[in-house]
Amino acid sequence: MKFEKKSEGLYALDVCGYVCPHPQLYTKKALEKMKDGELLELVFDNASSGESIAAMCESKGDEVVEKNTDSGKYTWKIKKLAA
Amino acid sequence: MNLQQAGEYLDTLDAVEVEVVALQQRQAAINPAVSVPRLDLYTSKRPIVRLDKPAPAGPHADESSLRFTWEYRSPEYYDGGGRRWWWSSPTMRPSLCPMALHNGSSIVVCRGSLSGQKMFLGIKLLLKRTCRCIIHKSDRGIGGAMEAVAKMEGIAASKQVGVARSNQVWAYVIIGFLTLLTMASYAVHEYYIYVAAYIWFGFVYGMCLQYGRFCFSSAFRDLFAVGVPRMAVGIMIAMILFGAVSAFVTATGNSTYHAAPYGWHAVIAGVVFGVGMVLTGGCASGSLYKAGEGNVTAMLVVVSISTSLAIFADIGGWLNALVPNSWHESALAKGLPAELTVGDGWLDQYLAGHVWNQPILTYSEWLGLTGPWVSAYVGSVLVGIVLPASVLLVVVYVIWYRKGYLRKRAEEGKQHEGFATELTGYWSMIAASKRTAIAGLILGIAAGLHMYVMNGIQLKFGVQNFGSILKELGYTAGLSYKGTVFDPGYWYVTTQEAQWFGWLFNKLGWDNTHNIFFGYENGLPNPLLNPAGWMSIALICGAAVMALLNNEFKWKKTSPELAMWAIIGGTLMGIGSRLGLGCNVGAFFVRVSQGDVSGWLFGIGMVGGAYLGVKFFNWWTERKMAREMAAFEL
Repeated sequence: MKFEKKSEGLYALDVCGYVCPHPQLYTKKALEKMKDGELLELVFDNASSGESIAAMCESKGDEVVEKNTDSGKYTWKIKKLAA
Repeated sequence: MNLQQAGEYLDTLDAVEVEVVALQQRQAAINPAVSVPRLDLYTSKRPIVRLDKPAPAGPHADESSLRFTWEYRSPEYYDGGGRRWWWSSPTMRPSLCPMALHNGSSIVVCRGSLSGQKMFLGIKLLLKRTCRCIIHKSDRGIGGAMEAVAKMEGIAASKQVGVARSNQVWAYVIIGFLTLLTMASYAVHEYYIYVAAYIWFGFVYGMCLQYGRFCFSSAFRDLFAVGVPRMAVGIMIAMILFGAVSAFVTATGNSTYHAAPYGWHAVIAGVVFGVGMVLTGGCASGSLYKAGEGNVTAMLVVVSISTSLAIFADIGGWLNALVPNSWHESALAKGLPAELTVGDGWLDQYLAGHVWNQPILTYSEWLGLTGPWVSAYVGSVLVGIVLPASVLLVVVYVIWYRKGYLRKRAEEGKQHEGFATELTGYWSMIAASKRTAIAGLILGIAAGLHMYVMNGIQLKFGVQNFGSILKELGYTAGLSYKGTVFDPGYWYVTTQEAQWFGWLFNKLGWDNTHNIFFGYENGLPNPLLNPAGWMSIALICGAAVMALLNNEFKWKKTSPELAMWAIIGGTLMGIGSRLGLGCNVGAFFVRVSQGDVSGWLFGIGMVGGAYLGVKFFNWWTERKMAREMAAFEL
């Protein structure tokens, strides 16, 4: 697991190799730490976590701005929005 | 490439429609008429191509000042048979499509909302093949269409479309293996159709689980962990469907189900199992389907559950000291065969001395219902499943879904209060994940049919248990004292896992047949002759096929941390499922669907266990995040 600040307002979270429930938990925690309007670049490779993360963002009001898939590796950009 | 200039020029003309003639080329990799849609992007005129009309030939056409050219360069991602193509034109008629799709395209981009959708259906009808379609919703002219094309190219580039050849080959290999096995075993003796039925139902279960990412663990855990009700909804749907189908089976007297004793033990078992399944990240059935996706951690979970079950089923020694004397006495008083040594072994004394003394109750008995149809549909389905499931979903809606839904409604400027809104919200929660709902639907129906089919085969061969068949075929090794083997007649997961490793331990010299679990009830058959075991193997195969065909199969190695959770959690799941006489499938899913009171008790336990597991993981995650975040200021 790797969580780092790339630049002002942009964070990167890499949870590749983790299975449920770790990716969604780390994503939730990371988004909780961030401020509204900031962007999270999330990389994970556990398909079933994607379903949960998408639903979580939907209900919290965060926006998944971009979804990229490359042979089982998912790179999502999530924008934290004020609930 | 002067299509753009051609388009600009056409726009200056005083005409609504322009006829485009595609000249035959001496050397052309593709039909030149495919440049028309590209031209269409650059002009507001309506291009018309008449494929049936022969193109004018001769010097006049070749030298015309209105001639335009377009050089087609095949991008890299079209390699491998040119499977993708794009098409964009609001005016295009389906009859023109074969031209664009001549290479077996799998993507069609349609511009324009309604017309695009209609057109796509036309194309599908015309070609009778499945195309993947991106419909560009708002007709924003060239910019919009180009955006759609870029989006499609992005998808094509990420290799989301088309199944890798090697994946297809592997999928065929797996299906071929199971088919061959079915036919070859049938050729040996028709009795093996019994095993084949388990195999193919297992295969369907695996496909459904993978397709819907159907995980009981996430159903309870994700509610507490991230507030996502997706899976909880899916499971309720599956249980209602399973219940409705199997109520028919029960009412017509074809059920293979026997109710289990209920009591506090079911709740406690659920808690132990629930904590375990949060730690491993998957329930018993979830770990099987994830193993089929190439997930090594999940395989480790399966091994860990199996080992723990096999050990726990026979172990006595110092654990005997934990058994209350009353259980010990009561177990001895049951008059079981002396070879079983019921007084020795924790699980034996727990089963014979405690669980067997507990009452057995179904909802229809509780309500005093008589008559097969009334007790099946009113007792089991309505009171046993639909009512509690609806109430639970209301609780889930109020706690985890309502707030987000109402906020979204308010943002969209729609009505966001009142009973009608709450009802639409409730429904939108249920319909939120189509994949999960579809998987639950098929899973429920398949599980009900499975009972019906197994009962039919038992009637056909005049047997009650696969043990009788094995005896007739001359395989007596591994049968229990009653002459039976484990043969539930419906979907089950953990007992056969225990048998795999129990059999292995037995071969390695552990004399583990003097207990109720292996010796008296389930036997220790050779894994090749274990029908329920084949169901689990086929479940993994079904999940693998589904994952391969969706490009989701990937070998994923484990890490020391995940392996640790897999072993600890798997052990807890093994213990929990022995205490509860089943796992999330056998003790919860099946029992609830059959209107057995003990099902919800195990379920309540699992919810509690999941809550504790999530509490622990929250703490663990927070701790690791804090360590990472020490490096920077938020």
